Amino acid sequence: MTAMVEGATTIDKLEIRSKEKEEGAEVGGGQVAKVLTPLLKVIDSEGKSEAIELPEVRLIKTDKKKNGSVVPYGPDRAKAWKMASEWVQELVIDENPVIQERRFQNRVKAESSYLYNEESQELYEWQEDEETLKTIRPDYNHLKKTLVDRVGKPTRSDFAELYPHKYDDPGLSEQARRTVRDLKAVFGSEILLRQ
Amino acid sequence: MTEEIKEAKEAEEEEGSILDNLNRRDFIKGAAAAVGGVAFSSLAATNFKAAAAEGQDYVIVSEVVKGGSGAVGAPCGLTSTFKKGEQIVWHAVLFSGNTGEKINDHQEIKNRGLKVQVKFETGATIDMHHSEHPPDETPKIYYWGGGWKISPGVSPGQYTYEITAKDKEGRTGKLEMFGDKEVDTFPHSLTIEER
Repeated sequence: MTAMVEGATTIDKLEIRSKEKEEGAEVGGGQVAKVLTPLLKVIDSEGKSEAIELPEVRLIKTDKKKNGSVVPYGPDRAKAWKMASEWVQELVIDENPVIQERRFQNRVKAESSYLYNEESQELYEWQEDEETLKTIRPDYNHLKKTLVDRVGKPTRSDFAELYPHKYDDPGLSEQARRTVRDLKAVFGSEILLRQ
Repeated sequence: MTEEIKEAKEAEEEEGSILDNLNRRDFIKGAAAAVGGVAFSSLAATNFKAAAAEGQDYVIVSEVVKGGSGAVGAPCGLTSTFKKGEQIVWHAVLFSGNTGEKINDHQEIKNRGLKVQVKFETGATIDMHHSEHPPDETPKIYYWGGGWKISPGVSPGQYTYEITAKDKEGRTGKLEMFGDKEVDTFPHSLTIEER
């Protein structure tokens, strides 16, 4: 199914290209075996197709996997999911009329507060609007499925590694928390593995 | 130079810059509101030297705020740093470069055929609109506003911008970074960061 928003750019599908890596390159304590390049195919308002390259995901051989199987490098996987989430926000969520209306109300409140020194009022946050998000997610479920099948679900530690906490703290950094919050809102809370 | 500007200039020499007591945000708000008055004229007056030297017909005073779409945190706050997915919003109020008078009457602006645009270093051109704020039933204040949403595809970095004004008679104004330094501490460039 294509995520359709009238008059806007829409998500068509996600393609993932794979290429073997030459011997020698190492990352995260393992040898890079393959590199996956996710391509987000979109259709603009004039019907023209365009491909948006998402971050590459390196697949590495680890000591534990001497049987030839490979695993995605965690921070790469986090980057790919993050960028997929950002494009879904841009192309689908930001264009949703319910979310747009609620954001318009945010603007009215914020401008009233600014112009008339009114007390700050509670603002709408799309990440918490599960009722609306549930109706939107089926439109790009194919994208989620492709990413899960090819690079796997992202894990909490992928984001902790990608955006380390500036203090040596077991919790996630602010940027990692923000990314995880957006990601769970876009793809549903079950997308994140708590490893 | 009009009597009003002369008086304002003399007052400023005696009392120091009005900016010592009035920040730019209050200036924009006050200038846009119906109150007008000497304080705003005198604040703008310091900018007319630059406008006159440049032969400008319009003096532009601006601010940059975070828009409501995709905002991390509360919208409408002054900032020069934005995250991908957020919206950059420019506000502006125009003055006559010759007389120092505020030009903010909506009908007069329509009669002059005034067009105000932001040219952003990314290549985007944003049309600003002279409209009512907030956009609901509360008392209205007019000012120029224009917004640009930062796509996930934009590279992080620093970007400059310029704001220009032109009317149907060919009279022009340009927000000059050097010229406005005296009155306007608006950001000379905007930083875009990863979300």
